[in-house]
Amino acid sequence: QALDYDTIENELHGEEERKMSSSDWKWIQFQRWIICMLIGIMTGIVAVVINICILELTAVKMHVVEQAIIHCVKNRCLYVPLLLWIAINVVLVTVASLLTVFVAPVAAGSGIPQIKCFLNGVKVPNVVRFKTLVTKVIGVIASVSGGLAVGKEGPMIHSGSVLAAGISQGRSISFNLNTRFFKHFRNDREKRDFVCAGAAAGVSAAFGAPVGGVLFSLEEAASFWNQALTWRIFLCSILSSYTLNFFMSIYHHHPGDLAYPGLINFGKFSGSYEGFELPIFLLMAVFGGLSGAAFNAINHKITVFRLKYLKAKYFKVLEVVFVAAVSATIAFVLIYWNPECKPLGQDPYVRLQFFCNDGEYNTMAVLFFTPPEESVKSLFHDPLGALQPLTIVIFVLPYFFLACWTYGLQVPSGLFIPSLLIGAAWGRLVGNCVNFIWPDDIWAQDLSKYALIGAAAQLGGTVRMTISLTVILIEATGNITYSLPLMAVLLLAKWVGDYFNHGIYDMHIHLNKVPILPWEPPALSTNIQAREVMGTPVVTLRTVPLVSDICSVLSDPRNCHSGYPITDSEGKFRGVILRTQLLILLKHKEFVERGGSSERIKLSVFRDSYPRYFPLSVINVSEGEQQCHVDLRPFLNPSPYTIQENASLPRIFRLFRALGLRHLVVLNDEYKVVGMISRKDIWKWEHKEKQHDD
Amino acid sequence: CYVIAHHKYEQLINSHAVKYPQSTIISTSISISQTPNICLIELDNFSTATVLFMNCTLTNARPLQYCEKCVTEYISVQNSYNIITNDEDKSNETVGCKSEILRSDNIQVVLMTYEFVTSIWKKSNCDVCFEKIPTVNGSFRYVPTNTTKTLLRKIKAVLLCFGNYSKNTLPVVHLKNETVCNMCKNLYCDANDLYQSVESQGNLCSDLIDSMNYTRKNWGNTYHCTVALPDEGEIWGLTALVCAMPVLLYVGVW
Repeated sequence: QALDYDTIENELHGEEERKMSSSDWKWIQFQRWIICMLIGIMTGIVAVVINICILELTAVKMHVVEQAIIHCVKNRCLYVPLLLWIAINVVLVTVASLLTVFVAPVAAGSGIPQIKCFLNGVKVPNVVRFKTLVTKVIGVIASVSGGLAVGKEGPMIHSGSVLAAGISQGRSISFNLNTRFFKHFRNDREKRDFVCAGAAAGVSAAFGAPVGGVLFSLEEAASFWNQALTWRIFLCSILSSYTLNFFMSIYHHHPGDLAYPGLINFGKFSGSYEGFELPIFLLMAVFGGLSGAAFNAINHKITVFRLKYLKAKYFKVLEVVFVAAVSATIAFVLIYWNPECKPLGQDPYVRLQFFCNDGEYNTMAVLFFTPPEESVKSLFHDPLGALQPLTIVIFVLPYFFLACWTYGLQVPSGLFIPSLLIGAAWGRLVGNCVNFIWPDDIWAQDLSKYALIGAAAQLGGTVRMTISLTVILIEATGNITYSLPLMAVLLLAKWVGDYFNHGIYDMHIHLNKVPILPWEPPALSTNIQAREVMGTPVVTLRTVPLVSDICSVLSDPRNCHSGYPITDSEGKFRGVILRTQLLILLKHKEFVERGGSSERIKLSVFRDSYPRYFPLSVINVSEGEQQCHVDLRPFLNPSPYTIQENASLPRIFRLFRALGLRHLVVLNDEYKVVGMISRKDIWKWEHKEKQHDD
Repeated sequence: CYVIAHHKYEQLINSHAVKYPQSTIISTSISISQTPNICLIELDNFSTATVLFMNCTLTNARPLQYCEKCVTEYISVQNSYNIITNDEDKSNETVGCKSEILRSDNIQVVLMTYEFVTSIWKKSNCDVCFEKIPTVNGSFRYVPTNTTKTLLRKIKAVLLCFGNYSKNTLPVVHLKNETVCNMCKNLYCDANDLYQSVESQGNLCSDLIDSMNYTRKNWGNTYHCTVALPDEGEIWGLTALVCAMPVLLYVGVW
């Protein structure tokens, strides 16, 4: 199924516009701004709720476990805190997975692939529904505070998009709530623009990166873009970022101090590096690309296994529960094993003493016994001697596999933080090596830049985003001087990774067999013509068909297209009508025999039934009505996009990609309809070619 | 007069080897005529106070005790500085010693020194160990808080105990010093508990942190009194069990 990003300029549409005065038009334009502001503010608030809930829950959890550990180190009962830790994690994570599996399966994962599909024009069921938002928010709170190797940043993007879709429609079908506002925006095209804004707001709230948010929307939905939209989206993402800022400043008891950007705050970087360090950074980028590719390859195998064998719902829940238990156990055992102690005073976030002497802390606990964001910060900013290389090695290896295993579970889970954490860990190791080789040089004393570059390389090697990721990282570090190394590293990591496999989001889209269109048409396909790609034979309708004809066309499962070409009695092409329009016409019994023209059906009727259309089965058509006629002429789109049958594939592709089309009518020399091309046809063709190649 | 001074400075810069008697290089007559005497006295007071403070701090840097020992010196630095800053004519800022001492050159060495002194005090968090009690003439008196006194007393008792009981025993490397551990356990735990409760309130100055660290280091590293025995069996059993569960699940569905 696909979305309609093309306006249907039929007679009704023209009629409505005639009635509209220029002040009405301005009011609609102004409403767009209001909606964008609302989206920004609401996204910020949701981010605040998520953030505070996770902070509080984690603090409580850590406190309980810490007390148990302190008690049990003395009394030799360490299995108690382990069990306690496992139990807390399992309970929290079970909530997340039950919600995800039974309420909104689409909320699983980071949500970025789903939003990518939506913006690309693929209809993902339930992706922007209210229950998805609820599942996403509660799920991410539970899974992050439940100690899984996940982050809360990716889900934020999805949450922002759902909010945008909800607010712009001015109603919620789940709540049976219907306001008078924003009725004009009830179609796919308008909704998509607002979802762009929502995704941008989500990124901006997650990383404190408003420009990165705008660029994220641009990167993922680049085909449908205009300048006015950019400006609105920028407003939206700035508002979202500063709403988060404002509420977090209140939470941290500095109301009005707007310096708490982002769900993750990278802290301050010195911003200095020497030119001759660039080769080291580039080597790190290569390693990041390799490591990211390995991550994706392992995750691919796991995902294939899950799709194939783990089909029963309770198995999915059970798997999540087991992963949560294993995560807790690994963390505990590694802390338990770690012989490294450091004296207090360098002020780490947690000071878990464990077996250390009084006044010392266990270094592994700095990494494992904290929310992941704090671990990333420790890896970035802790001074040179704070974490021993061995500790980091023992930390990063299990964490890599754990993160790999966790992504793709049936819980809302972001990938940014785990990737950053892995990258920062090995980046810091590289820094340690450099420091070991040149122990006395000033430039080799600062490990934070190596940790940052490692984090960037790992993330770039995993997700393969380009411009938006660079800008997000620059904004999150707040340091423009790192832009050159970050850019170079992300570029190289992407190239190295692309040599082996796809980015993890594309990989998951691909595994779910979603007909998403890439940026560019398939290579070397100019000689492919429309007639090879199009779907035939094509089902056409007359301008004034019989009801029984429509019913038989609609009920035929073989031609379950979304749109049907209309031809007149001479077989000349007249326009296209959508399946949903036909359904509505049948429902409202717009039959010629009833004298329907006296009170014509309005455009708002079409809008009101958006986006949940009813299936054919709910429409009752009596025997008598079967013989009635429907006059489709006012409703059909008289000038849809068409193409000649000898058009090349790249040309068709660009039409689809640039206009967000859903279907394209193919005409022959005599302007007769010979076929239809849908989004899926292109995707199938591309896919078939690939299989031939293999 | 100016010309000569400049000339001489030039010579000084150009030929390092040439040494002039001090009196000819620094033309004191100018500065005396420009800076009022009262200001020089204030400056002199500040300088003396600062020197005393620095001297005190450095002598008490190891073992770290300067919060406790140098509070008087710190206050006198504060006072002498306050005298300088308050010495100005509100209506005309150029009159008075504040602008003369603090702002008449571009290095502002007095300000730098003052900031250095306060930064030592702030970074060591010394203020939290004292109570500021206002006195009759508007200034403050610094009195150590009760917790500070108690904690210091307890730490001293522990260290004394360490000293007493380790004398009679031979130093054994890497082994628990049974006498010290048994005899001082109560004192140590007492001090440690109090320290932890004060720490959670955030009322620790560097004196307390350092002496407690020293005590803890002795307790742990010198006498090896904290020996927590890991309990292996249950942990390994649980770990194996937890790790086996997903494997079972995967094998089961496969």
